[in-house]
Amino acid sequence: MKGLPSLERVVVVLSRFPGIGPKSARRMAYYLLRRGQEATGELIDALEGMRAQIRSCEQCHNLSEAALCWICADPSRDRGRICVVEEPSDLLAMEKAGLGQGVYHVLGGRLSPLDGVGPDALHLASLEQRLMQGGCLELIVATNPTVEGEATAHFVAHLAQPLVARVTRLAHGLPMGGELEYLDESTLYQAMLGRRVFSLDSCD
Amino acid sequence: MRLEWLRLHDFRNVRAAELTFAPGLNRITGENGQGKSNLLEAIGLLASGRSFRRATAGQMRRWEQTAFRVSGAVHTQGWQRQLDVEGGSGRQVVRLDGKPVVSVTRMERVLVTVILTPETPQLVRGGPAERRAFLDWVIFGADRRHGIESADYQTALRSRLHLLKQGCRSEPELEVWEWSLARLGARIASRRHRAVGHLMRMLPPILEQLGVDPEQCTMRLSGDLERWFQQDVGMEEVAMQMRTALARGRERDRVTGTTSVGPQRDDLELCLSGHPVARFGSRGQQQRLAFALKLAEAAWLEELLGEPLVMLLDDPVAELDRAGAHGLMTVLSASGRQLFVASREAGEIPWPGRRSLECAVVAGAFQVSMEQAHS
Repeated sequence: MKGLPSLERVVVVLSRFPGIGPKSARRMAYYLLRRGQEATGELIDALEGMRAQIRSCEQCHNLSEAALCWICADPSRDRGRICVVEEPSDLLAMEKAGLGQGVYHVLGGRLSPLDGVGPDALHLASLEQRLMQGGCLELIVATNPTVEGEATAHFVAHLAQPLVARVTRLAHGLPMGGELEYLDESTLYQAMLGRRVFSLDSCD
Repeated sequence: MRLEWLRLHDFRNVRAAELTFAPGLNRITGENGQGKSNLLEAIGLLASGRSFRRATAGQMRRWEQTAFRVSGAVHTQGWQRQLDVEGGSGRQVVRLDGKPVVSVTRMERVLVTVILTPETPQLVRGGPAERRAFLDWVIFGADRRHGIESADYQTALRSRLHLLKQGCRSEPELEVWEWSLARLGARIASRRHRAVGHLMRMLPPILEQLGVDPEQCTMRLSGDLERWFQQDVGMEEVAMQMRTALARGRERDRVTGTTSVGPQRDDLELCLSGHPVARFGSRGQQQRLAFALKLAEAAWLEELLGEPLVMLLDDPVAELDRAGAHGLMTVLSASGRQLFVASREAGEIPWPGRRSLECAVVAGAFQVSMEQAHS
């Protein structure tokens, strides 16, 4: 191959990243070349560090740098409340919102027969084991509101119902700070279905 | 609402044109292949952001040109709005009052059109899928959720069949997809049930004017869910019955590779004197009924919009006899709608109204004239 095959290879690899097209990939590669050995070395070290350190939490399958992730290892967490999410990124979103008083269980995906994802491909057996050990008072199902996410939620609820007293799911509806007139019809509809009694004493 | 003017640039065989229209009838005349339908297509494109001939942007731009542009001013709800569509290479851009519209499905209903073409009778002659698509389109006009849920329903249908074909015996796994299907299926069927009710309410006077005895014409939605809805069963109950039916039908569905219960099997059955029009009707009867359905759709949309919409008619009298053509144009002139009618000669379109505009097309160029009635 003529030209710069080693550079082209970097461009090809970088352009596989989500949100990165061939042009951005090329700019990133040029940037590394311009910054010299040091910048490339830094990136290589960072990637190697991540590969060596990051693994799956033995308990909840969250990303972790130890046998247990920082959430499962935290004694102040309420172990009576387990929140089921599809991906570690969903967990981080919940944490970022400051909703993390309980612990999590990351499924690692959602049911999607057309993509070959069945219950066996998800961390459902370990969820069942966790629930059988007892101590969980509420299981919050926080899968995405897509047809696959809903099917997964239903599957999880079916599995958990005999083992947990309270199985709940996230409400669908109005985004905070949004305006009614700009919402799409389906969100408004879900919000209308999920309306609740106005409580003057409630703090939420 | 009415389209006040239209500008075309490198659209189909039109290099550049600017046309101002009449509020009532606008006749578009010309020999075949001169560009009559292109004009209708451009108006439809402004209304929905897509071609009713299912053409791609590349097919709509003029030969050897990179892009086309269609603009129009619509008088609606007492004021004027401007719509622009540009396309041809890369992404199509729709603008409302100069600002890009994010997605066509979220487009405000500034210009709403109902289109009759020589293919419209397929609605009656063709298979049940044509009629389901028509019903779903009518519902989508009133309720955007229907589009998303129909797509979800299709995903769930394919998911369950995929599991069955793979020999899945896991009760809970099959159950979750059947639960999704039942939940979505009941909602889709209930919306279709209501839409058919609206169309039936609009239909009798339209049929009468088209020369069809409304007493002789029956329309009903067939399908298991519809039957349950007619027994005045609630949505939850219908979903439960569908779940039971799905669970019972697994083995059969695995063998046939189809799903034996659900709204994907619905049909809108049309009968004249008790006989299905699709099989036993004459071509003229089929065309009248298809037009009647589209006119009922227009009447219902107008009820929602609160003002008359715009109708596009491509060679509407092709298969109608004189009485049929006269009936159709009488209904339309009484509707107060702005009409765009393409035909070879102006004389083919009987018009009881007073004034009309004639736009003669020759090889993509237009010659516009106002004509007084010569009833």
